Amino acid sequence: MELLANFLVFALCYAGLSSLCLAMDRHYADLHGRGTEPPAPLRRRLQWTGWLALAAALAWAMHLAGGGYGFVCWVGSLTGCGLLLIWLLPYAPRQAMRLARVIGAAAVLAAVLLAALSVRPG
Amino acid sequence: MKEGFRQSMAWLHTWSGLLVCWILLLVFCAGTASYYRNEITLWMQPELHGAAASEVSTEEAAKVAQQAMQERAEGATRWFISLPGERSPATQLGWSKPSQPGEKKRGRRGNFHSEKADPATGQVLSKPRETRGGEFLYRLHFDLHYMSAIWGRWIVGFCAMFMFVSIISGIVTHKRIFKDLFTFRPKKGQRSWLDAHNVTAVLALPYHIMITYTGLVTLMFLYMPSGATAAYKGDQDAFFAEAFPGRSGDSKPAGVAAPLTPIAPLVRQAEQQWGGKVERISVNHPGDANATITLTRAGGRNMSSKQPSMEFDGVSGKLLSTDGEAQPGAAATHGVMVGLHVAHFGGPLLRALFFLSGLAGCAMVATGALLWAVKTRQKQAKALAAGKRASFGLRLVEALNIGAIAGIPIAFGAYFWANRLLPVAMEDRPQEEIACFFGAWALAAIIAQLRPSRAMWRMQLAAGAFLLAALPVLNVFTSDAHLGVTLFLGRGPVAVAAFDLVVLVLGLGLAYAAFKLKPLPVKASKPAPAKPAPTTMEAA
Repeated sequence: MELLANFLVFALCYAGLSSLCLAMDRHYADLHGRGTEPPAPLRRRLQWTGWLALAAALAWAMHLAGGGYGFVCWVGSLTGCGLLLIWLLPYAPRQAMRLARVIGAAAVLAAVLLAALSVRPG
Repeated sequence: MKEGFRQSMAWLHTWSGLLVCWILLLVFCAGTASYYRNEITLWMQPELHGAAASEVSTEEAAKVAQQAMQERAEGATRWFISLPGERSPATQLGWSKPSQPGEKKRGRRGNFHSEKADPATGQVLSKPRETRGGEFLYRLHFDLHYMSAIWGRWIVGFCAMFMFVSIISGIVTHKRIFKDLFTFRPKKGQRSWLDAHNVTAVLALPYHIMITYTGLVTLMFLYMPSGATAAYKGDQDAFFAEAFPGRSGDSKPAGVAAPLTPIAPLVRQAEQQWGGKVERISVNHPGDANATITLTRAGGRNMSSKQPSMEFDGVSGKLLSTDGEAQPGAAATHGVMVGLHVAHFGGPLLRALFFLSGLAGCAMVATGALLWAVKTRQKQAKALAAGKRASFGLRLVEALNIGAIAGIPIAFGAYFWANRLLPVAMEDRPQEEIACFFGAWALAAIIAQLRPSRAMWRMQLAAGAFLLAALPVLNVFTSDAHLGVTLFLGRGPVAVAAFDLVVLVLGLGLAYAAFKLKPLPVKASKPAPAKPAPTTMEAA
C-alpha cells in the first residue's frame, strides 16, 4: 500500500514531465522526424496533461507526507524522473515515450486501486 | 547593456566555479556519501553484520539496556544509551566514571567507556575492528583533514560561498533554462559537455541552492559572528544558551542511594506522547536520589535537526520537563535548515533522492571543470595544430581534473579496501585507513600532473572502476554478509547489500567511461576526453 502510494508520486512526475517534453518542438521532432511540429490542439493537450499530472503529484505527495516534507519529496522525484527521462531521450527516445505511456496508465491504475482500498471499510 | 550584463555574469560563473571546483568536488562527494554514513560504518565493521537481524521493540531494548548497565557500569555518574533503530542495529551503551584519585587522566574522554550490545540479550558484541567508517567522510565534508577543523571550515565555507555565487550567476547566464530543460545531445564534443553541465545543474537546481545555502547556515556562527558578538558583548555562551535552550545543566548528586526507576515504562509514556520512537536515553547520577533520566526522540518526524526530549525524575519516574516541542521562530528556522542539509528526517526513499541529487551535484561540478578545459583547448586549437604545446593553465587544469574527477573515486576505493585488508589488530588502525585514502589520492593526482593525457584518464578511471566494482567481491572473502547471502538467501543486513550494489553500479559507470575513452585513431595525439557519458559523471 505504502509502496503503491509512493509509486504514484513517481509515476505522475515521470508521465507529466514526458508530456511537457513532448509538447516542445525539438523533442517532438526527435520522435516524429525533422521539422515536424506538434499541431496546436495536441500541444495544448500535452501541456495541460503535463501540468495537471505534476500538480496532482505535488498534491498527492503533500497528502501523503504533509506540506513541507511532501514538497521536498516532490522536488526530489522531479529531479530523479527528469534525470531518467533526459538520459533515455537521446539514446532510446521511443522507449522513453513508451515508458511514459505505460507509467501514465499505471498511475491511473494505482490511483483507482488506492481509492478502492481506502473506501473499503477497515 | 543587457548583453554586457549577461557576459559579465558568464565571466563570473566561469572563474568563481573554476577556482574552487576541485575542492568542491571533494566536498560534494564526501557529503553525498555522508547521507549513508551509518550504512558505510556498518559495512566497514563486518564483525557486526550478524547482529543486525534481531528485531526488538524500543521498550524491550530499553529494559535490557538498563539491566546490562546496572551490571556493568558500577559507580558511573552518567549513562548514555542509544537504542537500535532502522539504521543502527545494535544498542550502544556508554558511561562515564569520575576519575579516581591518583589515576592518570587519559585524554578528554579517558573515563568514558562505550560498547555495543545485542539489543535482545544485552550481551556485548564481539569488539568490531577499529575504524572511523562513514564518520571520516562526514568530517571530511566540512573539516577537511590534516589541518585544524577551524581552518577546514573556513576553506569549505569560502568554497561554498563561491559555489553560491556560481549558481546564481549560472542561472543568469543560462539563457534558455526552460527551453533546454530536456536537452542532452551526446557525442557532440563541447556541446555535449555543456548540455550535461546544464542538465545536472538545472534539474537538481532546487537541491543545489538548498544544499549550498543551508550548508553555509550550519556554520553561520563561525562565518558571521558579528551580530551575536555585538548583541551579547562577546559572550558567545550566553548567546547559545538563549538561542538554543537545552538542558537545565547538570544537577548535583544528593549522595543518598536510591534505586533507579525502570526506564521501559517511561519510554512507553514518551512514545505515546510523541507518536514516535525514542532513540537516546541519558541518565545522570544513576542510583542516587537526585537521578534524572532524559529521553530524546528519534529523527524522522519533522524536518528539524533538533528533536524534542523529556526529562524524568530518576527515582519516582515523574515527568520533570519537556523540551523542544515549541521553539522560538529563529531557532526553529535554523533547525529546519540544518535538518534539510543533513537529511536525517527522510525515510529510505527521500534519502535515496537526496543521494541521487548529490551525485548530480558531483556531476555538475565535474562537467563544469571539464567544460573549461574543452573550451580552452578549442581556443588553442590552431596553435596546437601547428605543433605548439598547450598553455600552462590548460595543462594545469587538465591535470587537476584527472586528479580530482578520476582520483577521488580511487581514494574512496582505497579507503574501503584498506578497511578490509589492513590487519585487524594494527596499531592506530583508523589513521592508517585514512592515510590510504589520501595516499592513493595523492599518488593519482601527482602522476596526473606528470602526464595529463587521454591514456591517463583511461588508466585512472579504470583503476577507480576496479577498486569500487570489486568491493562486493572483496566482501565475499572478508565478511559473512556478502551479496551471495544478502541477495540470494535474503539474510543479513540490507544496508550491507545496498552498499555492495551501489559501489558496483558506480564502478561499472566508471568502467563505461574508461571504455568510452578508447584510444583515438591516429588523427590527434593529445585530445581532451570527448565523449560525455552521463553515467561517467554521475560516478565521478
